[in-house]
Amino acid sequence: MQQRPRGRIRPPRRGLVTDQVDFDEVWEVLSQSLREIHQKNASTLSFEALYRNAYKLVLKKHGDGLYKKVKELVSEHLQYVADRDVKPLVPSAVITGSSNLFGSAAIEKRIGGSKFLEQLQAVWEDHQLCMSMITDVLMYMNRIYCADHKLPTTYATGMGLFREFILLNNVYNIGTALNRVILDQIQMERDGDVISHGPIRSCIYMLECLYESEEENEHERIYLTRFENDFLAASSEFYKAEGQRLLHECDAATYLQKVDKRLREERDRCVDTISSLSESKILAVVDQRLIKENIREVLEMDSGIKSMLDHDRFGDLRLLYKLISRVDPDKSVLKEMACNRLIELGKEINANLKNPVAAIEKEQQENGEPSTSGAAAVREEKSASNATALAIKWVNDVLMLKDRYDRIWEQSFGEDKSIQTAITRAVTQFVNDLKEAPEYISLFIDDNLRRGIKGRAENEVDEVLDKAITLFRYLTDKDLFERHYKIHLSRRLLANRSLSHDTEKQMIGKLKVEVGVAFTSKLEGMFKDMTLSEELSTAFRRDQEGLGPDSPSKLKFDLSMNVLTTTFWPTKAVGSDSKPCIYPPEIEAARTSFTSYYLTRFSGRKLIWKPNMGSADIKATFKGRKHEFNVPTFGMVILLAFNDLPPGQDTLSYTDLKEITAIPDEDLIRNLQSLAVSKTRLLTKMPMSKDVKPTDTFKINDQFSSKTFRFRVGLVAINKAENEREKKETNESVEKDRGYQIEAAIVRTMKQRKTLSHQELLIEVVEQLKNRFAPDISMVKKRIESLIEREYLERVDGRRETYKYLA
Amino acid sequence: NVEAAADSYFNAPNTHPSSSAGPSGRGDLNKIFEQFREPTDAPDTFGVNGSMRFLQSIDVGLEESTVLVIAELLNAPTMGEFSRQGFITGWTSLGCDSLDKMRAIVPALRHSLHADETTFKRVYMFTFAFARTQGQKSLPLEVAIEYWKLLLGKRFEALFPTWIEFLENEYKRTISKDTWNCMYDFVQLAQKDPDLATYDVDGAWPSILDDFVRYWREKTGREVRSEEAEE
Repeated sequence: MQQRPRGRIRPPRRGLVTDQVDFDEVWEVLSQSLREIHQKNASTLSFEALYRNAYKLVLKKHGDGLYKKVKELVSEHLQYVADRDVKPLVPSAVITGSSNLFGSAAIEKRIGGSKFLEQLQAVWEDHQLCMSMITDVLMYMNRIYCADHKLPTTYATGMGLFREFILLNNVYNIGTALNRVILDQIQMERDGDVISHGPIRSCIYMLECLYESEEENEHERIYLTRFENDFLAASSEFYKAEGQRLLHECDAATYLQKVDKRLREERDRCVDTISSLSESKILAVVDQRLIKENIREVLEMDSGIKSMLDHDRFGDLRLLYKLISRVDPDKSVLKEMACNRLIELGKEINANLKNPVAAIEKEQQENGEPSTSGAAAVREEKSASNATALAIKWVNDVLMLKDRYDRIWEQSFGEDKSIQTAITRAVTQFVNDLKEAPEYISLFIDDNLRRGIKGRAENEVDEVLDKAITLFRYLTDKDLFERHYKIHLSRRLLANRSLSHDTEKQMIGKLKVEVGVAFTSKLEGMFKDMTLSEELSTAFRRDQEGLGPDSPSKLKFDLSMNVLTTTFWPTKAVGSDSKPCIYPPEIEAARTSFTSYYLTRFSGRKLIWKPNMGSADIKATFKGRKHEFNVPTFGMVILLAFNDLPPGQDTLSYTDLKEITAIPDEDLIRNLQSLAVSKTRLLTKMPMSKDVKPTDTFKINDQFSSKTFRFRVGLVAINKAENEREKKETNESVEKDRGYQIEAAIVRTMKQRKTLSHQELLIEVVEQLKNRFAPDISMVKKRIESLIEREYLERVDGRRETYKYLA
Repeated sequence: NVEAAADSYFNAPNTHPSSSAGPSGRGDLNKIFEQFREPTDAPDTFGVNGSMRFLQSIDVGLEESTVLVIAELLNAPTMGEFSRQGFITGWTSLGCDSLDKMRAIVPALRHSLHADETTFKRVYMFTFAFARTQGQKSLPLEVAIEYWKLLLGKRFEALFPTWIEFLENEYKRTISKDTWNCMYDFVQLAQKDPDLATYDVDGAWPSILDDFVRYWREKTGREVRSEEAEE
């Protein structure tokens, strides 16, 4: 407050008082009255008279004396109050010190404490009242004298004196006792007793209103300086012990609930018992003691996070998330442990797949079935079960697991972005941990497009496709997926096994959205080939119809062709190595006829025939019954060989067949197995055995019968060893492919950037290829070296770490 | 004054205007060059026999690394061959116009290889092209090893036997120019950090060195740096 010019507020002197006052005389009157106020006899006093007396003294420059005298008077009074009113009720340290009191002692303690608090409350309220009355009387002194001399007002002084004489009374230790009593009461309440909040609240309020000095700095409230620390320290001790106790007594969920309850209690306490100033601090104590220090142990309990996750305990997990968020914005413990469990479960899915035998045994043991020889047979059958079944099981299991975690994430983890990232990382880890993942995802799609989606509604089909896409996103080796997808797609298209071309295109559309057009252009090319081939076959047929019946180009049977562009189709299907064989004359005629037709339409092209990819429909009569059946082209060539036998001969040896047909051994054996060893035995083999040997002989099986008019002779599966060799070849070709792609990415980048540091180049290349595969750093380095050697790149002089593009 | 001549050579190689070898000096150098040329040699060149006689006459042993310093100085196109152009420019830059002067400066040149880092680096980088058979892009392993022994044997002492062992038993391929050049940096790193703790396998080193460091770490049972292990 600024100092005001005195003249302005000075009331007119005239006629009010005599010029001189006797200080002692006036003070005598005044002090008498102030004592009356302390005695609660204020009603007899005239405020006006008192005010005038005080006014007079200040006016006559006795402010200094008055100020000091009032201070003395209040001090005396407070000393008296301390001696007479407070002291008898100060509980002794012995009684309050220990919390382990029984029966009467506890009651005594509670009653004693309450009385003390109530007395203090009364004293404090009296003092406040007196001080406000005294302040009113001395208003003029406060406004003029105190303001001029920058002294605390009477009221502030009175509060300060209360602090000195009552609270910080060194003889009676009233302040210490007060802290002790309040903390005891809080302790009792924490232990479950009912206490009376009012007196505590009043005393706390008193502490809040009192300051360390008459300057009354906000942060020097007695509450903050002399109570709160004790309170927090005691609470910290209490919750430390409580944490240990709960760890022993509770399961994880109960622990979390108790913590939550404690947090609520402490928050309430800051409203109805102690000051709201302490709320954040006491909650931090609980956070520290009950959550931060113990949470890992709680999560590691048998009933901990693993069990909560495994049993979909959404509520418990929600509470867990809430509590952990209080102490760690990163929630790293939660993320770590939840993801570890997720990875563990994912790896279990992978492991069960690799070892179906173990999975079955485990199931049996769980069902209490003994492992019998019958089970052993089942086992063998199971372990030989085809990859498709495994693939479907794997995809479903993985998706189920992921869905479960997604649900937990939604319901319990507040859709927390960082947890989502962690879950994604975990799924990526175990999905890619399975070497067969790219193949399995493709097989899953294959199975659905071949039969799974039959009769399903559009939205259901969409859902299935989206499932596959979901998994596809996690794949790092997307190029491997593409490889398998091409093979599977080519099989579907060529063998006409796809249920719906629209769905096929829908799937490709989804892939395109995920990883771009470069990825799907070849797949789309395959479809284009199919459409063109169909048009071509129709046109060829129409051309045939136009021919006279005696024309040499006229075919005696219907021919439909698929003309495939080499670069679109998997090498497996269209590899440049043709598999030639000697066709029977009528077939050879058809081949020549089509070839010449094709080349007149598209000159300059080259047709390579792939009989191993085709099939033929044959009509035949067995035991007087007509049948029509479909065999692979090679099978047809073999069967037709028996048509042209000279009379009297009905058998052909392997060597004969080899000579007549010139089919490569590998295919010849496989087709003979299909015709003579598998279920549909159109040929009889002598001697009967599984393997085909060069010395074996074959004849048409006259005894053959089939329930159906139409049937199909499929090719037997290739044996396992061959699969291994194929796998190795595939791996090599994948590596080679990746090498080219890495090199292309390096050159693309360097062409654009001219010079670039090693690290930047690595980042760029990895980024460019992330939609195809995750390149191995050492592989990238080797490609860089190779480009240096071939002088596309060089190291910048003196800076080994920087490359320069050489145009 | 050998010292002064050597100094000027080190400070401004190949560009130093000759003080004592003027046009007359060139004539003298031409005469010296002719001494070692043999009738069968290509014009403006002397070959293996001439080279041997020349090195002997300036007191340089055929097996010592000083040969490489001389070859670099005279910009010899390949092992066992000197060109007239390089011979004259090289010696002129050092002010040597007689065999005596050449002989006198050899000890300084010999000393400079390991005493002066820029000389060493220049000679080292020169050696790849010098050692290579014409028309070949890379060095046969045995050749590279011989030259490495000559040049790096001393500075690379601790790792050298393992390096050779690795090349002969594991790597077994030819040495590219890039590998040869990067080896210079690698040796410098190895001198500063004998434990190769700061070697970064994902860094810009050629992969042959990555493989070697892995081989060496495995062999000596050294742990990879902790931060790498954490990744």
